[in-house]
Amino acid sequence: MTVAGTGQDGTAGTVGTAGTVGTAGTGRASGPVVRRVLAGGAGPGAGDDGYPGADAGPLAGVYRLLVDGTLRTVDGAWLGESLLTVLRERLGVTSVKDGCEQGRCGSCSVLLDGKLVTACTVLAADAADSRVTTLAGLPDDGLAPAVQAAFLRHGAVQCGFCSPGFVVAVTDLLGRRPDADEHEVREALAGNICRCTGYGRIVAAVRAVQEDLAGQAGRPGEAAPGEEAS
Amino acid sequence: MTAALPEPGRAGIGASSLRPDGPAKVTGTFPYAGDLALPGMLHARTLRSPHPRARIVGIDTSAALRVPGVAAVVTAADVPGVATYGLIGLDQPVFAATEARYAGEPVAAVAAVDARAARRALAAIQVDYEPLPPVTDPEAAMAPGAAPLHPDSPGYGPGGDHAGSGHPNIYRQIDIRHGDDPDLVGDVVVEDTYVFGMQDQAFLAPEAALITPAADGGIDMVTATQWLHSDREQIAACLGLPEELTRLTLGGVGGAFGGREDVTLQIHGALLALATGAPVRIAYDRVESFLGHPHRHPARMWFRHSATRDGELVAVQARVILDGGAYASSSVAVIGNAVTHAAGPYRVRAAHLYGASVRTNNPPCGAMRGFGVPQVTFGHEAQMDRLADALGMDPVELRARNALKAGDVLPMGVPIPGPMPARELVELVAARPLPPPLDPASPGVASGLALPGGRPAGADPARVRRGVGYALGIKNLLFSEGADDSSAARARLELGPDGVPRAWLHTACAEVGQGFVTIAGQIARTELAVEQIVLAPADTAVGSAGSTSASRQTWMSGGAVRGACAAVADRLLARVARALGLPPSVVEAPRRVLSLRDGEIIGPEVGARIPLAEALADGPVEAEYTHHHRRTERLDERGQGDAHVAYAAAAHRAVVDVDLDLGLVRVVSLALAQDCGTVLNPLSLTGQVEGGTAQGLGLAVMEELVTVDGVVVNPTFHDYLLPTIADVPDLDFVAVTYPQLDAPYGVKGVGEAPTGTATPAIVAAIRAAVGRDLRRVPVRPADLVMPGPTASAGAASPGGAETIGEAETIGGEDGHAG
Amino acid sequence: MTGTTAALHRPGTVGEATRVLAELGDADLLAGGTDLVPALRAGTRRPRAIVALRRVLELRTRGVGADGIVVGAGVTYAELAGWAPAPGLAATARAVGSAQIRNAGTVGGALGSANPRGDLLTFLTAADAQVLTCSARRGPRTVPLPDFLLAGRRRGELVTAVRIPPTHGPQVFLKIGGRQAAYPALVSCALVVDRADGRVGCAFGGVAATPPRARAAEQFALAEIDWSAVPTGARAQALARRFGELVTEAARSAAAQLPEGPRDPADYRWHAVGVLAARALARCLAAPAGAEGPAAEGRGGGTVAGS
Repeated sequence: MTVAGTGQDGTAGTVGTAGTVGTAGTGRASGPVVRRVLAGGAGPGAGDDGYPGADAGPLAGVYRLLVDGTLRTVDGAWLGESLLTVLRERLGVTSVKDGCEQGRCGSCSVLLDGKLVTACTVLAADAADSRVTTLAGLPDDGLAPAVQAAFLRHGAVQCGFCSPGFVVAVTDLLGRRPDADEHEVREALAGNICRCTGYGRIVAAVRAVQEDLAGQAGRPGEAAPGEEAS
Repeated sequence: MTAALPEPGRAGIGASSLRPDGPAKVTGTFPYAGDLALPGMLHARTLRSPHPRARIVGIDTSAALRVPGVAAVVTAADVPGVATYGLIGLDQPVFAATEARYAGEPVAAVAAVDARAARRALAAIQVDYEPLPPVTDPEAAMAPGAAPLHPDSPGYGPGGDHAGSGHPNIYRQIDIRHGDDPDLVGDVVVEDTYVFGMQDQAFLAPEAALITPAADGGIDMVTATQWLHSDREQIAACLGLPEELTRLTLGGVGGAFGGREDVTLQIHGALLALATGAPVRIAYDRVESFLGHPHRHPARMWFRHSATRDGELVAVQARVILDGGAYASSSVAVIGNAVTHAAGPYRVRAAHLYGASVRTNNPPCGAMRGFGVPQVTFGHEAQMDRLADALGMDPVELRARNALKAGDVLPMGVPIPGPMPARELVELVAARPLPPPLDPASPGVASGLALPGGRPAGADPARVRRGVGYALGIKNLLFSEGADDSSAARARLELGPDGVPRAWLHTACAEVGQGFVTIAGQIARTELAVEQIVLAPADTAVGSAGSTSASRQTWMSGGAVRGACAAVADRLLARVARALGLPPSVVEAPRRVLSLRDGEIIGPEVGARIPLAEALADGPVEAEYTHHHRRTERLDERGQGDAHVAYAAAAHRAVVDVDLDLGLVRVVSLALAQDCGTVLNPLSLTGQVEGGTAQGLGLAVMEELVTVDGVVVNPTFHDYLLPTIADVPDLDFVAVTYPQLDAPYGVKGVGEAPTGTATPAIVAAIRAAVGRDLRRVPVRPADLVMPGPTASAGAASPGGAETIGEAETIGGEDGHAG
Repeated sequence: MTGTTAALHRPGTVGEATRVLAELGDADLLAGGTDLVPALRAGTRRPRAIVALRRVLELRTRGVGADGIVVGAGVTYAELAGWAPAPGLAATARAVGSAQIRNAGTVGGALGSANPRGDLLTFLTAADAQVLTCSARRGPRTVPLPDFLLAGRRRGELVTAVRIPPTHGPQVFLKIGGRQAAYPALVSCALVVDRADGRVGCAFGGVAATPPRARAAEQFALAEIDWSAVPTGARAQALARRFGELVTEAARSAAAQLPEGPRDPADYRWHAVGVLAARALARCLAAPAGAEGPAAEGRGGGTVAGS
């Protein structure tokens, strides 16, 4: 079968199609109650934020997000939707991972106006007129490719679910503090959980990037630019 | 950006080839099951019982169906096929029908145009519960005469009985009696009771599946699982579909660690897809993930170890009670592992090892990395330290002296297969250099980051004490007790679109992060002398690969890939031999003359040197192969039998610093020596043992899923703490690489053994630092600094409370304790 | 959209914010989002409207004046973490959560959430902080922090800043939790010393519904310690020990105790805050005179960002 990631223009079309869903009884004697979904009845979108229960909750109106340098329109999201939900479910940015929805695992780490944050704790509608930088938006002539390459070479990737968030966090850290000592590195990255690697290879990858940066630092113009150093 | 990334590996076995899925994972394009979407798909959510035990008087879904956007609601009444499922016995209802047996048990599921509408509909479902008193103490559940908690449950034994347990709430009990007098006791005796908390796999990507109803009446499902074919069997039965119409493809799996071995949301999502005729995405959030899959079994364990005065282990007695929770999952197999490993990696003259896994109204427990072995390893290693103390012996020396070697007879009455370098491992790990002592002038100590509790705890270096501890353990490899958990692979040697020869591989092996995709390519390169590998998606269109568990995939699916590739090579060489006009004897056994090397077929004797591309010009060569391991047998009524295929051993040394006033622990260093068999990929191996070690660390000092009256109270990452990068020190790892002769290339599984030994080594180090008997994991700060007993008085001893009361007594030179 | 109006308000000034709050009557305030956004997701908060304060630049100011330190409600932990004029605040901010949380979480958010284990509340309680609020109808108001925590934000009211009275002396914040970094506090303790008058403010978190002050311990310190001739050696140790005991007693007798957890029996919490208090006092005693910060603090791990 063919399965695609959520389309960039996805949600409105998705709902329209879903509106035609549902005929009961596919030849079975008894089946669950199934009914036609009223098109538009529940409001648009695939978002999973907010207001379970009888209360439909308010919509957030139309707003725009600057994601990785591109202005994206978000139309019809619910007020309570997090930046994580909007990125994943409405804008198709699935590199931002949903691991805990509480800001405790770091899988959805992005930069908001250059600051490392967890997208699950940012209200999407309040990020309008902020710059959102995901993994894909990190400068590709900067530190991020070096961090990604080191993650691969040093075995820092197993299941890989934490990798996008880790790459964003490591890139942010080394952009600001390229010579951070090991304790500082470990404390700074403690907001990113990895369950597979036990962190050994991640620490090795960070060390390798730091060594490369130190090697380059001697040569003028070679220092890797940090993303949004503040 | 990818241009700068290193290419995936092109090497054969033995090299640190890089992951083929690595570039996609590190750039965020790798599609995990929860990332998948289809136009028009519905979103499904699950309703769960808030009660650990309640009669379900009625369910009214009418209000839910009126919620705008809701397409369907399904309950137990809508399951067309078998009403129950399970890994080993079919005792778990797809939805609770008449009674909910644990808090979190699915009762209904909803599909709607968005997840939000689905969640609103859940809140509108009216379930009329009549709460019943839950039974949350396994000892009470297994007491003689205790009322059955699941009277309708089928049994789990070969004959459908309760595996001979004779008690409706005991999933299985095992009584191993070894030696002329299984109740023999030596000169110096130590005994105690140990408590082991409930750990969660906490894989990082929560459960998800995308199900599409197909025109032929079947379903196509993409899901994150450990075992596609087992899922398919259970799903098809419950849906009332033939298995061939139940097609599963592996979605990207964000970790598993045993937690995806059971079916969770798959049947619910499929029911909704069939009911609505639309694609359905069903997914859990973190809270649901904590409630939705079985956990590692909590345990209460009693051990009595005895030895001669000069330190020869004489006998081990144990009673191991695992809380299996409300449904069986793999409890019957987990208790088998726990009991057969209860004496640990030691030679004993006599053993009496009893264990039971028990049904309660707690959350179901099943597979997690180590599968019953970490529980008993915590117990027997605590006992070995106490025995060393009672004997006045060095704990490393006591372990080395009694360590099993190949051929020694196990409590199950059979010799342990080799290689078994247990003694070497513990001696190796003890010889590793120790970390330097705390240096008050170092920046890490000045900032607090290198002290227990980190910077904010403000530990005073003068009130920090260091401890060193050891643990040695063994873990069986592959499925046990007669299971033929074979693995099938299909291989094809073909020309790619660019005319370059490549190997195409197809297995159903679930890649969950462990790196099988890397190993499979390395094997194919080695066998077929090509560089390019194409891995077909893992799905049910090929034979079962068995589960990605039990340290088995490198051995089993690696063996299948090797076998399939070897058969391809044989066929191709035969084709070439025929083309060269070589005699039939050579055509039948072409490797006598021809071989594959570096993209060529060479035969110096016959002057042949043919590029692979030329040999494949007549078409690709394909073969399928199914790998089996050697047969094992079920344990008999005395617990005797050749139950396990093979074993791997590991030894950890832990160094900890403890804040003596607050009871905070920092793990300073960990060393591991492990029995790894032949190493196929050193980088991958290191990642496995480091990850396994970290999970053992988490269990030792922080990870516990806490239930109160059967209800999980901390199902979030805010309250269930996992080790961070600041908690896990670098691992000093030594691989011991004697080949496992009956395994492909001599491999051993490597992922599980270190999880079992990390925990007891760390706890031993904490004991050494604080001088307290720690009988419970995870160790809590209060256990280290507050007065009073540190283990709750579980009644695990066969002697009952009386023996427990004296459990702290360490037998002196004049004989028995208690 | 079908008849639903936008329910997110993003004022740019305090005046605008208070007007919006007055009009709405009932709205949730959004600061860093680290508590509110997950609560929206979980459904435990269901506001009809949200007033987001990210764009109110006035709330993101901070400064030092004659009447103490004033920190705007929109200042993040990361911004505080390296702020030299407020060493106690900086130490507290460094101890909060993860880098991601410190970059987002704000002073105002900590007050709004009023988490009984909140790190910042413990420090601010010890520091005699006052909460500055503003509402369209009643104008500005200054409330002692404990009163604010008991009564909560009034309807239509916006927290604009906290003010900490000036002190001259060491300040220490310590906490413990379940791992080495990025953990929620189990218990915490803060000490603020004013060498000028010898007063010691001591508060502890994680024991009661709001952070109590350890008054008897504070009195003991006032009576026993001459900060112009700071005791050392065994005398300092004895003082710290007794101080810790008094804080443990205060914890034991505190009203509105939080429920016990399996990892944190109440007696351990009482014990632990006493240990932290003793350590904190020992650090204050060891701090060189003239230093405003604790002696043994390492360098900051957080970012100082412009506001």
